[in-house]
Amino acid sequence: MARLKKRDSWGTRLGVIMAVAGSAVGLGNFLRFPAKAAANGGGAFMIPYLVSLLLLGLPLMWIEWTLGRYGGGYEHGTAPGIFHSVWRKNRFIKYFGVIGIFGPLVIVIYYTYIESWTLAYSFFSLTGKSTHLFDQASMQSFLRGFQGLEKNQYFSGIGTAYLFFLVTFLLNVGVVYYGIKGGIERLCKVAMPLLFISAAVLCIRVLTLGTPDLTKPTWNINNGFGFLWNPDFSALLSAKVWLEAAGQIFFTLSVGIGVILTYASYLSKGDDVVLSGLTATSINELAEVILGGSIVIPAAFIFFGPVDIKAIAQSGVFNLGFVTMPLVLNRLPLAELLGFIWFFLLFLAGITSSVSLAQPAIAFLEDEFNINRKKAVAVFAITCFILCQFPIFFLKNGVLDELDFWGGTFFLVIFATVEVILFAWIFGMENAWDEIHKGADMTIPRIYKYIIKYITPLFLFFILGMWFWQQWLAVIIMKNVSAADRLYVLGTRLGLLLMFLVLAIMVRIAWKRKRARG
Amino acid sequence: MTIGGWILVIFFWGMIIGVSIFCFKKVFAKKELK
Repeated sequence: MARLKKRDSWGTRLGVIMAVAGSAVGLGNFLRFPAKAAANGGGAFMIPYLVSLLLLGLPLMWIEWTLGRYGGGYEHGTAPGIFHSVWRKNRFIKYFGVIGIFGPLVIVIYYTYIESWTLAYSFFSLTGKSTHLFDQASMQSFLRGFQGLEKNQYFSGIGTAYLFFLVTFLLNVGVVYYGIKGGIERLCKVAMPLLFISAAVLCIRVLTLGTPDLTKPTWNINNGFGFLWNPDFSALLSAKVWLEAAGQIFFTLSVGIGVILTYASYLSKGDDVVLSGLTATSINELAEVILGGSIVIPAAFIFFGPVDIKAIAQSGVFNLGFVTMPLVLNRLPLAELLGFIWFFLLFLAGITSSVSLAQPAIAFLEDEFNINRKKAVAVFAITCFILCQFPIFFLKNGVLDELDFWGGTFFLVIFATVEVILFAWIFGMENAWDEIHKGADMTIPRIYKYIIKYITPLFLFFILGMWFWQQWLAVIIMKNVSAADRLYVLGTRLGLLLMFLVLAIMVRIAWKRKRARG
Repeated sequence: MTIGGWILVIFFWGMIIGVSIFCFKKVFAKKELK
């Protein structure tokens, strides 16, 4: 049967690179990376980080770009169809591909809400609502009041947060409604340069802070950078540091999620993926190591000193972004403007990621059920909106953390392992090597043939093995969950299982229909 | 910041900026999407 509609496509090469980079550059580049680096050996952390980038991140980036383009040639934009195209003889491989829709859907459920906080705080900064707060306790109280975790002098309920969530959600739906070229590409071509300009402005401001308090001469920018970059090489002996670095590479490059597969499926057969993948990676690293590493931690060091900075670096990304950084900016001239730039920068990083997370579910409905984009977006929006209510209203019960663990951590590694095995061992390394280089503007060093076939899978098995060895029992029995939250966490797990089963059943129905059509 | 810190900063910043310039030069010099 002839297809009823033509698949969407990218308009320009720069557009697709910006979109993939936009997907990769998120809140984690500016908050998670500096905190992880500071807490795991400073400059020494960058050694396992570089090793993970070369042996894990880059190979997975190229694998996902290539598999995505290959699957797109068979009019499949998501992992079930792409995996099936690679291994047609296997009836079950498409069900492993469900992770590539499930993961992004789980992440977008809570990520959109966090993204809406950045929009709200941009507004609070501009209007001066949060710029008169100068101590940790007040700023934390402000955040808790905003999140609806307590009623205080700043907020009487969750209403404001919910309003900003609605605005953010509608903005996301609006972007994906206009499709790949008209929505996502257009957004990323504007948002990414704006994001870099905003980050550069803040970076220059932090670099020119010097020694603001002359009574504390060691609290200066030089030592601020030193806190992040001075190497503690003894940290390299810790397996935890290596796992943290590998984890950071996963998060930062958006590999193992399924998003790059979907984006690359809108390329043509002869479009380059090698240079495009490398360029998207380099943009992400610019944002993370150079800009992300030069803002929060050095600035916080200057204002909070060498003792408090240790606790701040380990206080979690929300505390860094929504408490520490605004406190720093509030002490500077033009606090309203700088605060706005900081939170709007995070909002841009967030929205370019969240639209990419929405795309696999929409592409799945379009490609496998042959429904038009408007209907697919409507189905996605209604489903997602309902699911988003759980992390919003049960934030204090650990629902968001639970979603993040399964959707944003555990399944990433599982999915990446399936991808690399499928690509290097089922598709075959010779075929894979030819496929990567179709239309390529540069050649990948031959050593990567062996890295992709042996080292990357072994690295992934090592990460999985270490996780099972160190954590699986504690996670399964909810050892670190308070007794009051266990029911909520269990409910979240059952909900996730149900979501996965529904998606698997949808895959089964789609394939049955295709078989019936012949 | 210690000398070790400076060496790491110069190495990583230099590598990232160098690779980015290399990539962008090639991207703008080569063909558009098909």
